[in-house]
Amino acid sequence: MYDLIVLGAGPGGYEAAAYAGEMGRKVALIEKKYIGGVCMNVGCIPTKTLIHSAKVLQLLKEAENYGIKKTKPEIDYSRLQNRKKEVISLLIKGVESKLKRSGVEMIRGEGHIMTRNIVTVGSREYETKNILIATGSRTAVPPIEGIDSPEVLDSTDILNLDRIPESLVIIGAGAIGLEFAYFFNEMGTEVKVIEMLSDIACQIDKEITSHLLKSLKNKGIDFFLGSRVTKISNKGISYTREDGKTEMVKSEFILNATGRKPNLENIGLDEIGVFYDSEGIRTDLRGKTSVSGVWACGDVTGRCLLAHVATREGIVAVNNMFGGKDTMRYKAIPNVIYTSPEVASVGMTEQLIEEEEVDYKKNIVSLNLSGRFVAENYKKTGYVKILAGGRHNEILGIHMIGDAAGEIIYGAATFLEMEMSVGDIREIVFPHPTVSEAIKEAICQIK
Amino acid sequence: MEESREEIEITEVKKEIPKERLTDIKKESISGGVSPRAKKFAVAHNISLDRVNGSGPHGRILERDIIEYYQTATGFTSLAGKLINEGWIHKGTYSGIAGRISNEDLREPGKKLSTIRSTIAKHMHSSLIETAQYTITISARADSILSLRKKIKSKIRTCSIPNININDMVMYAVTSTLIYYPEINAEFIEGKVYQNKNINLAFACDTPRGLMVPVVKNAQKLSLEELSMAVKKLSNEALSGVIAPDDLTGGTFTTTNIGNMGIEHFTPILNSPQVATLGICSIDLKPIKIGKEVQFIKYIKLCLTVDHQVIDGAPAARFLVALRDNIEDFVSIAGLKI
Repeated sequence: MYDLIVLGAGPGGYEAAAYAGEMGRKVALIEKKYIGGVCMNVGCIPTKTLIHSAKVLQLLKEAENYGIKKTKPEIDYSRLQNRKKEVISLLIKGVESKLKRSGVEMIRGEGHIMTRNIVTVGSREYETKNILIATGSRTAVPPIEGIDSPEVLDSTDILNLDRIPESLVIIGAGAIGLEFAYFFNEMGTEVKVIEMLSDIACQIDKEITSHLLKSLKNKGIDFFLGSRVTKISNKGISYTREDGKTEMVKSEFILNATGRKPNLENIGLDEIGVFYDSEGIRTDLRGKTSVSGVWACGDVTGRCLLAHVATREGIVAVNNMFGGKDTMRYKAIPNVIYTSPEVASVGMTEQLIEEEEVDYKKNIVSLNLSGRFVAENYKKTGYVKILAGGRHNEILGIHMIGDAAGEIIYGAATFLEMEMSVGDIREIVFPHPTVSEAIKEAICQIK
Repeated sequence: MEESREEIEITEVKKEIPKERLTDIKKESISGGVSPRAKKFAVAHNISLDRVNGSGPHGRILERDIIEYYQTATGFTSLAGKLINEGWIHKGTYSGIAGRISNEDLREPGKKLSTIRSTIAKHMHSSLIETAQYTITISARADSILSLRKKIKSKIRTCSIPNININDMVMYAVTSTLIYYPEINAEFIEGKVYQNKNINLAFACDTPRGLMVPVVKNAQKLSLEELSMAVKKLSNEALSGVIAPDDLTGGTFTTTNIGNMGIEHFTPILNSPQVATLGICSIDLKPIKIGKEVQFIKYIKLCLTVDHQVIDGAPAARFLVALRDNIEDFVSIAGLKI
């Protein structure tokens, strides 16, 4: 009898399994494909590896600005792909050793829930007190004529291309679409992005995304916003603009980056009566599903499709499973887009604050206030925007654009978790010279 | 040499023990003590044992006590601290980081009731506690009062009659009925029933300062026109806040009308020690089968709340039926010459 069986070894599942294992619980982790999940194998990690190569290339192109005479950089795409594999395998080894250290039993295969206490893998049955469903998500396929054409790729396919495409149309300007747009554009591909909404990365503060849009356009990426793709054929991609006119673009490949959908099939949800809908498995803030003893975390719940959210949700569920009290809070979830310039944000956007009619103050400053930013970024711009409560100056949201943003946003998450105000943060010493000083400056200017 | 150096270090460390830790030690010596596991957890998480309640024998602090304390009472966030100082109230949840009290766990300080509201609150609450009230409902055909109202409206400019409205008519019908039902026009005080000869008809009045209940004294002596004028005068005085305290006391039966706002049914609360109160509801169409046809006829709904301690269902029903008959045949009791 196990204390916990986890379905899915992504960042939600493997972290939860290891955590429960460290608590001394008897844990099994079932995975049918990848240890580390989409994130480590065909998501966050490989894309960040490729993007780093793009950033190196970008720096080489700009080397003269920093007093280094340039040599003409050349792309060795097979080395780039190999490095991606090396990074992945190194990190997977790390996960495997963590699981081993925590005493988690790894079971390879497809897990199927028979009852709330029995999970089968193939013909073998495993008995357990708790089940954590962490089966993740996959690329959603929108109902567009011709979406199944061979030139339409998803994020997994495009990572495995053995050459740089001449031209690429990306459907969807969310984080995934934008990161691939940045990467392939930097690699020399002609990139066009078609987005149904009138803004890119709609979950991010609009003032910040407008700077990102400008910056990506300056790099040569074409954007067609407020445009709906209607048909894909060998003639090209037809889309309808906001004004109702239909146009067509043609490219070597098409990337479907319209969104993701939860992996709900073949788990046994209907058999044991776990409540779910097309968005995902319904859970409460403790990770409980509608069936007692059955828990869920990560993308499969459809709450917030981010690896770090999945991890926290899994740990919250484990704590509650074994007698602790822990609740998921979603108000301080950091969000990063790994383009250059990088975007990072946490907390409420100005649009959300206005929608909820919260009394607020705002301040936006240039990252050029930071000595380090100026030293390291020749003629580049970046901003940090602070949103604070109107009465108590508590931090409501921090939104940044500029390289290094993703590395320092966790500090802002701390401010939000502790509900700190401008006055509290004035007392914190920030290292000099760093880009983070711009955050402090922006906060301290709020009266 | 080495040994003595160690000793010196130990004494220095002892001096450095913070006050919190000293109280821990004190607590340990006077109560059921602290389990070693609890102590280990407390030291690891920097928790003062002072505020932890022990659930073991003689109040011994067990590990589960300290874990529960850690998860529920480790403090509050910066913002929550400010709000608590402003008088915000803790709802009892701990949703912040590491079990802290956060903004979401607090509610804004409540508003104190005004003097008049506070009086109403006490009066209403005691009415529900001290009586055994129940409500019965009847519908009365409204064509008689409606046609009279129409007549009054059309003649108001030419004749010298007051603007008698539906509410005045129902109140007049109440008075005319109550005369024959003294047990309804009564008060129940400390186990004794006091039937009243005079009908002091109270009516609920919505004023900017809150609910007021002016009283038309000796209503049985008033004609429909006089009653209507008295009600208007008292309402105006109540609305403008100049009503005399005498006009707010001594009621023997109360009516309350929210039917003009479209309310189809409600259960009025007794204005105790009175034993009955009438709720006047809206006038609505009702399908009535006449012969083989269904006709839509206007009816007014009346809800009578009575105190079952002194009035049973049948006498209450008899009064309400009589009132209905008077309303349905209002023209004959009104005595109005227009």
